[in-house]
Amino acid sequence: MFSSAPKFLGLRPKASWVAAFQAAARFPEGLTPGDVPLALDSSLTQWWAGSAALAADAGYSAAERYCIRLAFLWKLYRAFEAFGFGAQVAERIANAVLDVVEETPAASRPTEAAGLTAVAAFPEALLTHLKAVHDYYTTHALLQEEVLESTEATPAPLLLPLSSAGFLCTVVLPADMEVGMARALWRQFMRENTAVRLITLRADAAAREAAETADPIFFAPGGGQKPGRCLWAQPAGLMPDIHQWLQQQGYAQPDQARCIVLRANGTLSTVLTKTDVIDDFALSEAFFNAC
Amino acid sequence: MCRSSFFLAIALLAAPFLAPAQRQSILTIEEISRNSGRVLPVPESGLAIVDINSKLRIASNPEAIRARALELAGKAQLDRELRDKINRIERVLREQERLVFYIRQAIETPQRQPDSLLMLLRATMRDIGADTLLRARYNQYSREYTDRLRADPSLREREDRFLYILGRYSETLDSLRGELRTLEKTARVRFSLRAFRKDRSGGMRLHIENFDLFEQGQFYEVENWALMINPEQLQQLQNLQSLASSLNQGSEKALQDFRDKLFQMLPALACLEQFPTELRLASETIPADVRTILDRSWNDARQQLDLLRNELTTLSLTADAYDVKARWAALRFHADSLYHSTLGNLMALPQTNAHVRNLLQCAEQTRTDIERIDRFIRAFPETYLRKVYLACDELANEVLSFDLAQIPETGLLDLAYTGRREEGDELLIQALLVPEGDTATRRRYTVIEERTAVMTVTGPRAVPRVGLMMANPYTLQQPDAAQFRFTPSAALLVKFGSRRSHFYNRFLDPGIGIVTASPDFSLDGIPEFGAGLAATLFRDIASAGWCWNFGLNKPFYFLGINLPFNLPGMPVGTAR
Repeated sequence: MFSSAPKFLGLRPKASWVAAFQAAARFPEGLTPGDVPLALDSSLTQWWAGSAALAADAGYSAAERYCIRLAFLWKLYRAFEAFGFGAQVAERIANAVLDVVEETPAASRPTEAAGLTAVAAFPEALLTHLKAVHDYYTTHALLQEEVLESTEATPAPLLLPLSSAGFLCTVVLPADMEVGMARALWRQFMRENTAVRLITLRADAAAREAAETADPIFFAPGGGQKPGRCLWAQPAGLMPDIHQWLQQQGYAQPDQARCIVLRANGTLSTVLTKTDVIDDFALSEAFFNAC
Repeated sequence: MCRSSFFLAIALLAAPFLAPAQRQSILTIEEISRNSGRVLPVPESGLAIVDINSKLRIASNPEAIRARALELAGKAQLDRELRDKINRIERVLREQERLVFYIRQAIETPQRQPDSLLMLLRATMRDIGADTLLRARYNQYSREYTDRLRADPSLREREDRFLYILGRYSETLDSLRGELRTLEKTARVRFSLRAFRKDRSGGMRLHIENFDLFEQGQFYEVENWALMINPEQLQQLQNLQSLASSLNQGSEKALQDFRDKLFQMLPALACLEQFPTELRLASETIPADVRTILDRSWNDARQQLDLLRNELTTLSLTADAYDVKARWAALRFHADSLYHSTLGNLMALPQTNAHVRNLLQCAEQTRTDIERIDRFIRAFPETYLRKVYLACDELANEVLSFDLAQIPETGLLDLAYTGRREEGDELLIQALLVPEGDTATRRRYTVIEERTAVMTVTGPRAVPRVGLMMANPYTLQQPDAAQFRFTPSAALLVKFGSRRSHFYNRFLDPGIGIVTASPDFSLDGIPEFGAGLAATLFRDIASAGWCWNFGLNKPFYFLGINLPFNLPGMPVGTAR
């Protein structure tokens, strides 16, 4: 596979990135096809977090980092495949493989990785390569096998992804999402007291426009301010929870709310209603007022 | 009868109101005597009389020129356009002034973190939100940024959304300059003065000092502009200039504050200064090759820091060429490199050595400090302020061109240097308006005032005259001889011109002087010599006088005639 066999350190069970990689392949029980995009976003977010932590670990060579990332990505794919969602996630997993190939210096990649970016059989060829790297690494590294394998057996609550496909910093909770899962993700979002946040409510056209306008503004607000995060909460079953929270914050007409802006400490800053003009200015102003 | 008296009374009362408003004269001409320097006003109406050797001082009245220009251009529309533009310019300048004020306040407020410009953000947003037009522009600029961000999300690291929007706002200052220029073109009209000398052979252009250049036989017009704006509007424009100037100073001050603040923040990098000492003290633990790498990295970072320090103390931040962000980026690059090489090389070494730990801490501390200063620099609207500074400078200069003083107060026409001229030649002085944009080859002149004058010699002058006289030797007893006898004569006459009467100058034109003649009263074929006094009239055509015949010792009087044309056999020197 490699022109000269690299020397592998193997997985260190206590390394922080191992935990992140392992979390990437855990799902909640009762995952429906409608939940798969968000669950995949969530898993990939964890996998990227593991990749970033691994990159900072100075002891590992680029070739081993390549193998570790793909080995865990294969585990992630296999987890979805086990639930019967392999075909649904194959394309995005293949894209993640391409990202790893492109991020790794040519000299540290397996020899067959060179032609992967140009292959016509997308995503099959990339998934085949993924499996091949996993197999190679598990054979050649001094692994504690359970470190790699322990991921599949332990279901866990879905973790909030960084963003949903097509958005820069917005996580979309689809309208048909199971309410319990939506509630769990919303609560995770509310607990993330590190940035200014915006929640857009409902699934109508006006909500779509507001969410799409807010996404780039919260991603890059300007004025030297840190980026914020957005949640587009579409499930109708989630509205009572959000309304209740609004009332607890002293907002009297929660059914009129379109966008809710939270300060970094989690308190309510601004509510933009259905009758407000929600344009770039309104969202920027709401953001800066919440800073 | 009663009724007609009533109407007459009404007509008399209404007459002052019905009569057209008296127009102010555009030109005031004064004649300056060449010899005595005496200044005499030249009458405004009719054909004036000026001395052929005098100097004419022609003063123009800017108010009257503006009034005439407005009549020609259509006053109402121009006034409205000017008012709208002045208001708009003022509004934009006020907006920018507020922005600069908030930026300065954000820097100067001590209780704020230096890297926080939230106050600016909130105040600016409040102002923008109160103005529909500004809000629409904010949305437009923000969407522009978003489009670029979608194409390349890493734009967030390179360019700040808010600073981008501010920068786009400042571009309105540039458009103001264009608007002012257009306004000036609309509002101004070229004013010119021309003078001609007209004689029987035609006309000839004359040079008026301050209004044209006469070089190598050619006239070149000096560009003089009249503005069709009233003094109040001019005052408003001058206020705008002051506003632009103060905004200019404000932005310069903010840039200076930025430089000072940045300069104050640099000592936070003191850890960088201690690095070589710690490196030397840790030399036993650190291999030589690693020391060399770290030493080189430190040198590079230190060099950039010194460069930035020097530039901050010596260079003007308003200079176009100076880019503090680029200089900072270079320093940051080298500091990052130092951080990575320190971490990469020292992490593997035993951490028991205190100096190795210090080096690692120093690298971490420097990185944190660099991040903090970086946030301050990135968030600071330096480019925006620089743009405001330059735009306001140009805007203030543009306003300066709105100045009525561009028309010279006076023009001088020195008749003594206008070449060959004769009494009775006419002088024509014209005041012209030429709309902006007319090319030199196709000009639509509008003569707004015209003055004419006749040139004459108004002081005493001597004129020789040769003619015929009919002499009567009334004491000589010669019964067979004729009472009046023709004899050639020559006279030297003294004449005076008038500044008031064309009848006197052109028709009477009297003269008085001495006359000599050569009559042959003795009838012996030998002429005698006679001399005496003569007076002429009608431009010297008629003359009369008394003489003494020195050959015969007898007096005679004479009547003379000078024909205004030459006849064969008649003496030259005819009357005009």
